[in-house]
Amino acid sequence: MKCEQVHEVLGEYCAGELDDDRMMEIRQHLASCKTCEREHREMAIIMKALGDYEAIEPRADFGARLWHRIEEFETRKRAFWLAAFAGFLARNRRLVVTGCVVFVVSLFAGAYFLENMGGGPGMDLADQSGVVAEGFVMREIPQEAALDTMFTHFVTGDIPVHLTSQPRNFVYKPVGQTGSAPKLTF
Amino acid sequence: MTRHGDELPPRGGDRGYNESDEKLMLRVGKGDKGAFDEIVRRYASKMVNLAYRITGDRELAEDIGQETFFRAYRSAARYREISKFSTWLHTIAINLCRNELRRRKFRMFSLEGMAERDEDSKVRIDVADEKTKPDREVERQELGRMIKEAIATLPEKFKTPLVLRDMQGLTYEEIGNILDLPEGTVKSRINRARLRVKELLEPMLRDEDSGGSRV
Repeated sequence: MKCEQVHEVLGEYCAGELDDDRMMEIRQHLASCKTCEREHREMAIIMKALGDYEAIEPRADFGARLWHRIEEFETRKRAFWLAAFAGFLARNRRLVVTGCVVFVVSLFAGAYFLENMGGGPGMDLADQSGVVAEGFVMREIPQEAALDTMFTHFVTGDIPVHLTSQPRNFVYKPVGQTGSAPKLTF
Repeated sequence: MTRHGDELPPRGGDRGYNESDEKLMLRVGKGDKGAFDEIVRRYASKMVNLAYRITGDRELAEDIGQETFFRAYRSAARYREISKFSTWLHTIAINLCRNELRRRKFRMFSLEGMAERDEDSKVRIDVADEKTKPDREVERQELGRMIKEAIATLPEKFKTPLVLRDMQGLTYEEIGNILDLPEGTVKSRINRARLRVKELLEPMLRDEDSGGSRV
């Protein structure tokens, strides 16, 4: 091994970062070369001094100052967004008023819809089974189809139907049907 | 510490923060300020020392440490476990150091009167007066001072990998990830930095060889 090659890896040698074969090779060279051995000693001193480099401690109020800064930042951020929002409202007064009106109207329209399409005192299927079943011929259509038909009545509103939230069993006695009637469960 | 306290937070185990840094950071993103205290406790010293060793300035190092954590906190909500947290934090700190060095046209510990540039633009570091015959501790301090000066003269691209490896104790792989460099390049830069420092301190070391052992 040439001296130049040894000099190139002295740092890694001192830090023990080379593989075993290379470490051995350099060790043998150092044992027989005074110049390289001196270079090695110097490098070892440098490496030790680097490892012992002065360490400092953060100031005792490091955490407190950091949090103070973070809170200051968050306060400013909130203030910024509030100011931006206020500015937007001031610049778009008409748009904001229109939006509010649309919102209130939608709210009432929704309430009215719920009142009349399902939330109000409609006819309970349990009490009006005869009426609901009037158009069905249970012997000819399967139970699922009968349910579909009733759902259509519910949606179109041609026969008032009130679906309750609790599952209930209904017994139908359609016109002309004899024998036991099928049970429909909602 | 409580988050408004006057000192660094207590050990994480005392408060139940035993998770990995990455998990803690995800908790910070969800608003857990105690988790951030734990992150600060784990890394405050490392980040301040890293900045100190790169810039050589204690006050600046403290400021960079603060800024590093401040930025980490601001980015917490967007943090994803795509890379190791420590790598991410080191990258923030090193970028801040670079920016500071660039912005202030860094001359934090001037070599005026201690190192001069000769005609070949080679930096020479003055060795303490031989006649004073300092004792072992003084010798050690003197060597530390000279090492500090030697490091200050290194170009940033050699200095940072050297600091990360020989002072902060990071692996070549970690350094490669932080600096976004191949491992081979990292090794080569560190090696060159070590040789350069040795070259700068050679006059003193040779003097020791003739006059007795140092350190």
